[in-house]
Amino acid sequence: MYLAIDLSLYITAIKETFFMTFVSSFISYVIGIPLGVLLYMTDKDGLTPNTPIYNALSLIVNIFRSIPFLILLILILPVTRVLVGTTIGARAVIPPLVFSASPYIARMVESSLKEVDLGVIEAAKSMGATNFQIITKVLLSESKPSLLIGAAITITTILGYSAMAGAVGGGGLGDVAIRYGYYRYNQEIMIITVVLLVIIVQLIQEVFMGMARKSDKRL
Amino acid sequence: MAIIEIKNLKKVFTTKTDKLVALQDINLSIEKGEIFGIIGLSGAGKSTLVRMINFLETPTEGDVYFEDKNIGALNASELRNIRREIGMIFQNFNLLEQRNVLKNVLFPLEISGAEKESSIKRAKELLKLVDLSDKERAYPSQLSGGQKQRVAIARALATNPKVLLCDEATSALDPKTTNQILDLLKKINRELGVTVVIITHQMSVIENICDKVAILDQSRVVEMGNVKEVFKSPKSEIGKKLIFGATENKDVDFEKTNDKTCLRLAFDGSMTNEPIIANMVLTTNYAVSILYANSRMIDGKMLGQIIIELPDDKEIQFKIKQFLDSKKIIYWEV
Ligand SMILES: Nc1ncnc2c1ncn2[C@@H]1O[C@H](COP(=O)(O)OP(=O)(O)OP(=O)(O)O)[C@@H](O)[C@H]1O
Ligand SMILES: [Mg+2]
Repeated sequence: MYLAIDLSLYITAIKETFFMTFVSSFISYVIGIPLGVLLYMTDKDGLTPNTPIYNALSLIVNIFRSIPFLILLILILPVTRVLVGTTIGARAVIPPLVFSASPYIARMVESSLKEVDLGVIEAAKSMGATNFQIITKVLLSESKPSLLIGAAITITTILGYSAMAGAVGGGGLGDVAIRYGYYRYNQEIMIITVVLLVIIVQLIQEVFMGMARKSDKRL
Repeated sequence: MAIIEIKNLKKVFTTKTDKLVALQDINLSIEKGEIFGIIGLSGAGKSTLVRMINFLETPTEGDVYFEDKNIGALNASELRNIRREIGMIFQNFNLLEQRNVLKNVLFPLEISGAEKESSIKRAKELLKLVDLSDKERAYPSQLSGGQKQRVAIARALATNPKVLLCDEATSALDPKTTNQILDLLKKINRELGVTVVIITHQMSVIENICDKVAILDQSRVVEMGNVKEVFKSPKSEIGKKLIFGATENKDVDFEKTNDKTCLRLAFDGSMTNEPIIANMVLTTNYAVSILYANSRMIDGKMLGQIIIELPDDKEIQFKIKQFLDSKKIIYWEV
């Protein structure tokens, strides 16, 4: 009986963790990719250099990246309430996760795109490609393996942050670890949740690195 | 009719610290159907010049005309359309690493919005032309340098361009592969009527396939004309240096003592250390006499020139020339 409750507790926590991680990763990428592309394009050796825009974006990205996650989580509570209607539970963790992950992803994307050989971009230009075609068919496609490696790092980091959010009632495995393991001194629950987190991180890492390896034709 | 007309072209690169005049007073007229070579030492401005033909680089002053259209006066979408009529290949091939051979050739058709089925048909035809039909599914990383360049050529031809620009297209290849690529370019010029513009620092490339040559030195065109004429008597210092490969012996002290036909063979460093004269004797069965030689080996490459006397027998003369042609050695009668 005790075990059954336990089990459902873990299952709910795992589901919440996956929910938080993947929903916020997805939204963060939807924001982060265009932001990264914009950074790449407006950089001084980009396709459409624009120093004012680059500097402004760069500053915003750096500000968000330097605020510690827990502080950001508290700072944007009013925004969170407006966006998702609550400040507790798994859903409430998504806005702060997105706010901290998007700028991070933007930088990752920017650096992946910079790995693409300028000669290939020039070749595409010589064939009459538009900038949009260069972005989609050259930059993003050619840097796909690098973007997937970035995703492995980003998503596991978001997972770690989501566990941290448990400390302030965010739900998921982190929440279980804090509430049962830490406050109630239940070492067993503490250890199980940590092990579960390690397994999930490992799994995500393996899946994305595997995809990166498989998609890379350079070998 | 000139297909490309370059008028008073000038390019100045402005960096934080100073201004660099990369090209000035450039006037060139490239005729339809010819193979036009542009040669010069590293830093002479060759790449800058070829990149201004399709406006990958914008001229500081002057104009470029393609079929009488002033490229500088076109809007962005007109420029993209003109670029589809001017193919380009590069020293580093610049293939899309994550696409297979067929998809690389399809790329220009894809971005031009061409219909898929006919595009695939065209791409396969081109791969046949460059003799790579069996490599359709291979990725660039699985190909040799020569094969990569052939894919690049097929890709550059996909949109049926009238001109093919080649920026040091053979510089990353060994002599044998270089000759294969040059033969392919010649074939494309003859069979498809594509005007070819070749940038190189190797005289042998010019001699092998170009009709006309412009010699570029320190941002200016210092000599221009038919390859045969320029080779016979280069006028500029740099021309002599490039053709004879000799730095100290600018003028060869060679006086003909009789009226026999002589051949001047020039070695520009593209030959490896094959014993050419010995092989020629073995192949033609004629013991040529060497009248003059200043050739020497540098880093395993032969530089300089050798002057040999030809026999009166026309048949042996023909054999000797045939041998020299087969070795792609630059020579002319003196
Ligand atoms: N984007 C640039 N900014 C500043 N200077 C440049 C730029 N591109 C070229 N240059 C300079 O212009 C000159 C001509 O360069 P270019 O690349 O055209 O020479 P090249 O003849 O093609 O040489 P190589 O045989 O080494 O390729 C060089 O001095 C080079 O440093
Ligand atoms: Mg160059």
